[in-house]
Amino acid sequence: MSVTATGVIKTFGDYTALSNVSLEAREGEFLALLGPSGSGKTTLLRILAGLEFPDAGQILIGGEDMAGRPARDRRVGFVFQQYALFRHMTVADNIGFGLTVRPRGSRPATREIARRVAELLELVQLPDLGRRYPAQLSGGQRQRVALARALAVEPRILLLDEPFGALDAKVRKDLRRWLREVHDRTGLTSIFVTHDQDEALDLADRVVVMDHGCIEQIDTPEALWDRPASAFVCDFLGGANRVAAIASDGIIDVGGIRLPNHAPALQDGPVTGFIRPHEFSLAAPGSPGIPVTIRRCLRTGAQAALETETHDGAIIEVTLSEPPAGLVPGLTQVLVPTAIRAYPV
Amino acid sequence: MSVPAATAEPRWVRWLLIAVALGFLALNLALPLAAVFVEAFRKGVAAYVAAIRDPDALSALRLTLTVAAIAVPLNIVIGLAASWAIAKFDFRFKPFLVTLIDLPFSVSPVVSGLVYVLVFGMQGWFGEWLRDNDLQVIFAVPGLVLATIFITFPFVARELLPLMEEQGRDEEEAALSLGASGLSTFWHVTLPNVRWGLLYGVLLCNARAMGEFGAVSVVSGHIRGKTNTMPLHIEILYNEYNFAAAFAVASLLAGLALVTLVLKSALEWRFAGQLAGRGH
Amino acid sequence: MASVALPMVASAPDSRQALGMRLGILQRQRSIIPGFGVTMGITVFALSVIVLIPLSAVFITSAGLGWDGFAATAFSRRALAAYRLSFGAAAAAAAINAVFGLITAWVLVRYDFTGKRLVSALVDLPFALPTAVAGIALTALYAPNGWIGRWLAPLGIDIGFTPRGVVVALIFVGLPFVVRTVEPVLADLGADVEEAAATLGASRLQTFVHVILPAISPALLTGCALAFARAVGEYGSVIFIAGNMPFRSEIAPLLIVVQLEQYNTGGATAIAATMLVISFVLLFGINLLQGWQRRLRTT
Repeated sequence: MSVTATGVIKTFGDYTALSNVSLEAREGEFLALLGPSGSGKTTLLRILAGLEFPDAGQILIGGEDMAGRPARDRRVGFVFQQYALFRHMTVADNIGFGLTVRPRGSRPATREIARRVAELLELVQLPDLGRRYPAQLSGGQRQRVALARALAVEPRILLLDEPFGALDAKVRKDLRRWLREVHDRTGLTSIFVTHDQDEALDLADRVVVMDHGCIEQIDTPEALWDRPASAFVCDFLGGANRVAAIASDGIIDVGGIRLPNHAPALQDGPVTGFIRPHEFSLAAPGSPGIPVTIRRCLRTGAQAALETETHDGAIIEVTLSEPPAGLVPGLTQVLVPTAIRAYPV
Repeated sequence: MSVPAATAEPRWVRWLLIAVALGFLALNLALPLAAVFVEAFRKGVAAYVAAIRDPDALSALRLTLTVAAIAVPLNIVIGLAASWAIAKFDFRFKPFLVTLIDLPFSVSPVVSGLVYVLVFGMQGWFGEWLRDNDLQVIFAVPGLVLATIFITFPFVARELLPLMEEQGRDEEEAALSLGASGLSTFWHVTLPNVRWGLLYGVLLCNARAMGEFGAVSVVSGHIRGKTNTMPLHIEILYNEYNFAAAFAVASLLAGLALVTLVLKSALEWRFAGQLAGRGH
Repeated sequence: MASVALPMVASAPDSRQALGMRLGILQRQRSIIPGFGVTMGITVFALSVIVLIPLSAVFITSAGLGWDGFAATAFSRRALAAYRLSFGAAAAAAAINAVFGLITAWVLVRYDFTGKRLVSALVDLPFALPTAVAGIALTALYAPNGWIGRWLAPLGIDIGFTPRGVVVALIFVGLPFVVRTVEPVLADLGADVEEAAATLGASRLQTFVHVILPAISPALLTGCALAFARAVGEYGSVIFIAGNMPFRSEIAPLLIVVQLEQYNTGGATAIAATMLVISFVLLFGINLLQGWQRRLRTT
């Protein structure tokens, strides 16, 4: 089922959490809301779920206007950051809760609920844990129970708030793949909130990058990576080195090297360029490019990671896939950028 | 706190619950409190003043203050000692000791008085010895003080203990390692850290000490002008159908209760972080 | 006070403690902090002289009565009626406080209204107001010619000088225990659990019954148990309003006083011993409850 938000505004007192946000998640899509804390991503998710109500704007789920519809009538599956499991209930009771509280007319029979629960336990790969209590589960297991509980009510869409936020790195990676599989199997339109760009790029069909209550860019992971729409997006995706450059006629000049711009067109004059670590090659001192001194060199297998320093003290990180021999700290070299994304200063 | 829309009750439910709660509190707490003051002035200000200036009332007031003046400081010493020993050291049976300190809370005030009758009364363990040496505990001030300490025994320790345990012993160990003596460490490091909690405990201890009825009733003997504390004096006046006078004296104690509540609330608002866990 | 049985957090055991334990029964770990001997000495001395030895007198004296002597008073018909009233009225008051105390705590934690701080402070009134004062005030309200009693009397409802009066007094005494025990637990309850219930389709009432109530019920039970324990032994606030008719409105603590006034110290002691035993059982029960509550709260 598709989800559409149009012109959503939400303020808390003087604080603007969302200023005029619009987006669409298509049928069956897996969408990531990515941004730093305070960017409004969680507020947007909660508005979609009906846990908050927007000051202005419209929410459509499956084409239906959600205005004034409380959370319990939206049939939205919501997985909370800390899972919010009912700790006095067994895992099975947790999962069956949404079915148990249905009005008498539409409530499945007890046996039917038990069957659904068993099915969902199977789906989240915890078939034998139905009688345990949440306190007896590991973090990853609780996460799966929370998901099963959300799925039990046969939601029209699935919303997940920082689904991996409370887990350690190893479990996080495993669950990521698994969640994607579950999504592909159920075909539910899913939206999840994260502040981890790897997670968003790795998992989502499309990523919505947010900052200060505004959407900076909505794109596929590839497009986002290749053509960040703003300096914020480029910076937030991480790893890029910031350099000063000059733009003229759409060509960017860095230390005498002239490159086409990989970002939206911009006016002539000084600009901020972003160059990723692998987008450099080395040249001998005196060549055009950015003269630097090598501070540190770390070789891992065939690769080398260099930490270099420019004349004015800025640090530039470089990754070389075929490093020459003799890269030692103190050596002076010139960095030749091979690609650049430039934005207004 | 603004409740998120999804978890807020309908407006009418909210209003209903607030109305029920306020109605219940008004009926059970505010109304009795109001009754004390209204009944106290039922026969006019002159009767009120006369009831309070009555020599028996004044001597009851004096005795109440005396008993509190002995019992509360003793309780502070015991409370400080107990929480220091329990919070700053590790030893076996610690939970058991804590339970014993709490014990007086679960003993009926009447029983708390009775135990001293059994020990110091005429037929009690030390009854004969006391009589031979011309000493009196029961039906005298020492009995009142003992019963009051018994009743209030846990108050100060109860407040200080969690606070001291929370603060651990790092600061004391730092002070000692810097060459401070044990006593000056206590005075300059420990006490400032727990002073508001101590004041809180003392406040409640004092309220209970001045207001205690059941325990002192058993050990006092109700000798007018001699062993009657204010609560006991109220009882006597009341049983003599001298209601206005009884309520006049009661209004003084109710005033004390109000002052206690105001100070207590002020402490809770200002120094919430420096009190143990939560309010009483 | 509500603090009666708050869990005391014992310091985390460390290796030095283990060493200290091996050194003997009350042996502290080796610590540079001075004053263990003095403070422990004061504590144990005061505890023994003021609390433990006098309390033991109740049991030693009771033992001296012999079974028949003990049972003659402790289990006389009049005493049984008194226990029944004390425990029955305490239970009724606790039950009423459970309902209204919960509503009060809920309103204080969840809603904003003018005068909330004042109301919150007022809840502690029973802790601060001397019981005798509460007793005569309640009597002034509920006696047949009292503020409230005079409106109820024509309806045939008597509160003052009946067992109902005892319940009214015990409600007064126990209310803050329930409110103050439930309040922090209610405040700590995560909003996300209630939101989760909402997104799963539960109505507000269902959320309360299935999610909130189970989470706070240990605290509610503890608060009731504390109120109950206090109410069973309560004396000052009850005797004025109760009417004190033997077999009808005479509470157990009053019966002790009556025995004393008749110079029947043995009988008074027998009743006191019976009440103490029951109180200790209650205390033990409360500790179990709190252990349960602690376990539930540490997920």
